[in-house]
Amino acid sequence: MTIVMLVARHVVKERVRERVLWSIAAVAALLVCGAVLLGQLTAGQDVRIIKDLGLAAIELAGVVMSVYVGVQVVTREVEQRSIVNVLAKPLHRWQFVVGKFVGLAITVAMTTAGMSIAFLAVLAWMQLSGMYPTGAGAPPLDVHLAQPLGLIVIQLWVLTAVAVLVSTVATDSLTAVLLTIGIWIVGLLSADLRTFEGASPVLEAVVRAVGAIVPAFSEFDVKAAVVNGRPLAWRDIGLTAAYGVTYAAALVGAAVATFSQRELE
Amino acid sequence: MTLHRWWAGLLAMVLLAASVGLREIRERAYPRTMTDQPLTWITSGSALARAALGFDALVADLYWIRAVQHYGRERQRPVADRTYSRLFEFVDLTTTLDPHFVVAYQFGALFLAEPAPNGPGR
Repeated sequence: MTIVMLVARHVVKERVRERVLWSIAAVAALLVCGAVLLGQLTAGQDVRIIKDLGLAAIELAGVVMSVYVGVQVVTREVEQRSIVNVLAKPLHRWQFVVGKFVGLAITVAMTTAGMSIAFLAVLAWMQLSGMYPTGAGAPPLDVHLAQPLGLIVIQLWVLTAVAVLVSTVATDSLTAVLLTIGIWIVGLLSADLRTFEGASPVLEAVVRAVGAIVPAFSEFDVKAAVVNGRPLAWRDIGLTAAYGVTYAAALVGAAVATFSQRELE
Repeated sequence: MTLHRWWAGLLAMVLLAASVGLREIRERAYPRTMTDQPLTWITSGSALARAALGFDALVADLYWIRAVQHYGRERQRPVADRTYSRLFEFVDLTTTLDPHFVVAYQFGALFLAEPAPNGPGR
């Protein structure tokens, strides 16, 4: 486990220095701040719009970051031939994969936390300056915002695990990116896939099976409920988080299995 | 290394099954409803046409899909809860973006005029 954490620490140190990640986070934070201006056009719905836009910006920026860092785990090192030197050290392949994922998960959580702080700061400013109409649903600073923000982090961990798994089988970065984004889109539709009704029972069974197996990214979307002042039960959130963590662990296990047999020259 | 691969694969399958089970438990304990609909931020057809950046037909298709899904979802709700409140909006945007989308006109003419509970009765 110590070697895994050493690999993870190296990944965090490497990623934190990458300007691309912080640029994406900065754009999202600016978008959140700019939402205050947009809120002036919404006839009293500014708190809702700012929350909707802020949460969407954090989630989208997180998706871009997760895909970007996740697919590079193996494919970039294979393309640059540096992986041969890494694996020549006393390091099992499973330690390499698990350590990389843990490091990426920490990085993604850190950048999401940074964007969330900017988002909450804007809402705190709105609340303290009294800019929102009273009695207008949930207040700007609402403790239940922890629900969508927490589930965004879990969702990004699952997406990062997808990217890591894809990077262990893909031969180049572009293929890995496209495959990861494709799985993300299918995952967003998984709820509809699981209730698919078609003319053919066989097609129905196949589509429903796909819907059951793909990562259900739609499960993590609780933004609308919380923004509308209808937070979910904390046990519901806990079960969803447990699903995400378990699924991410399954994907990392699959990545270890596929990477263990990959031929590297 | 072969042993690691098999153990990792087995662990992955067990964890996948566990995650699917967790999701089923959550869905039975806390079924999610679709009552909280996101806003339609752009309700003007001309504004949406500009935002579509030349992909008017594709965006019209997406709004057509939303119209159909909205209608179907409303039909699945209890009779007293059916409002079809967004049906006109979606059909209007579809036909504004693509004036040649004939079936959207036919669908709108048929179902928008239906009185409750089969339509919004417009």
